[in-house]
Amino acid sequence: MRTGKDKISVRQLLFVLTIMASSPTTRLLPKFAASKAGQAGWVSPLVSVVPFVILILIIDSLLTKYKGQGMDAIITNIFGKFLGKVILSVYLLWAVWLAAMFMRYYSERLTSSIYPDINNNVLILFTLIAIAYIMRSGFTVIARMSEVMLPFIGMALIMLALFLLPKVRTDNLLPVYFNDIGPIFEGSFAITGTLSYLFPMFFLSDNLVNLKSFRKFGYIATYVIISSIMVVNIITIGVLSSATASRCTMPVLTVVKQISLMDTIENIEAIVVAIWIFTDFTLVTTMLVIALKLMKSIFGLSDATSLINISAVLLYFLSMGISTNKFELEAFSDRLLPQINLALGYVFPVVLFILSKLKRKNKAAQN
Amino acid sequence: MRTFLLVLIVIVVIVIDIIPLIKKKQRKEAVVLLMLGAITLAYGYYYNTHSHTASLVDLVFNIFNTR
Repeated sequence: MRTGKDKISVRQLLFVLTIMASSPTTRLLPKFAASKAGQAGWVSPLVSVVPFVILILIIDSLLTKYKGQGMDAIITNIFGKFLGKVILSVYLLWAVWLAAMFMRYYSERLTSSIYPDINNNVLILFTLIAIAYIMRSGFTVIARMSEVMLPFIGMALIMLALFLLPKVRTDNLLPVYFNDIGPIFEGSFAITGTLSYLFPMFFLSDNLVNLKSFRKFGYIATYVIISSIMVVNIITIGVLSSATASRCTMPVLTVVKQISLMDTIENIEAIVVAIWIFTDFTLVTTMLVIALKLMKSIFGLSDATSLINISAVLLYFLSMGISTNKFELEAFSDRLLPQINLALGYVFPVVLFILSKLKRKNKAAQN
Repeated sequence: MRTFLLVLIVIVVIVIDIIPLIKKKQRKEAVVLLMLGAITLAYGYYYNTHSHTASLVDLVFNIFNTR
């Protein structure tokens, strides 16, 4: 669908979400699923379908009821001005935290894989300059860029999966027993948490068009994201086994390094690195756009463009000071991040939905 | 030297962004910009003086009492 200069369609927003989900998919999710659910880890993404579809239905219901309003306006409407701003501040902190964390992950991933002699701060600095530059053109540029790039990322993923298919061992993936249900649920926490980034993206919903199709495109996005996470989990656990995948620092890269076709096509891990760079760039930019939108809403600003540069400088120091090393960051992603994501991305929208229904009933009773 | 660079960068960024805001009389935006500048200076100084031990993750672990 064609959109105006500052408007994006729901379809484009879901393209951005799919690309954002690809970053943790190639970094954390197979490792997390393998460590929690063992060889049944590849089934974990299926569990995430249920909460994600519920989240889509809740957002759709809220957007239908409060037509033309952003999620920030909906929250302020339901909770009142003061409490609404407190809640928006919590979401602002979450968005800034995620931007800083993924920025640091981005540099750590590159320095520990292909640029071992480069300092983290150099990579962060140059990427933030690019992000600050691109953000001046608005979120529409990111959305359209994602629309163009997603098919290439999808094709790369399918190609890698096909190349690795002969190396997948079924005894690494099967059998899956009934008593694996508990670990499978546990293994799905990180995936469900990653998909929770859909909710903060709707703080930008006053710039969205074609909201009627949200449910339809939401189901398609669910199918695409969950099946791609499953493919990555199957090839990672299937090739390496769950014991090795859970102990590897970068299991997906380790798997891709094993690709060898008739001893001619080898060392194609550059594809994975390209996917990392683009997905992390999109993720950090989107989180920063959301943070600026929230600042605009909290302080009642007419324009937040003037805050881009100083936010980028602040983000540089936050991403450098977020942890002393990669292991601390991974421990955080393993132990606390899924719970925080679930609370802010699923539990709060459910509370918001219930309160909006109660408010409607109260209004009907008063009339 | 690092602190000097930090102060210089923050001042340059703020001055560049605040001039159009003052011209358009957007006072709220200017105040938020200055506030973000102050936060950047404060955290930047903390990071520069504790670069080997600064860890927000550690702080969050302490808040949630998780290790």
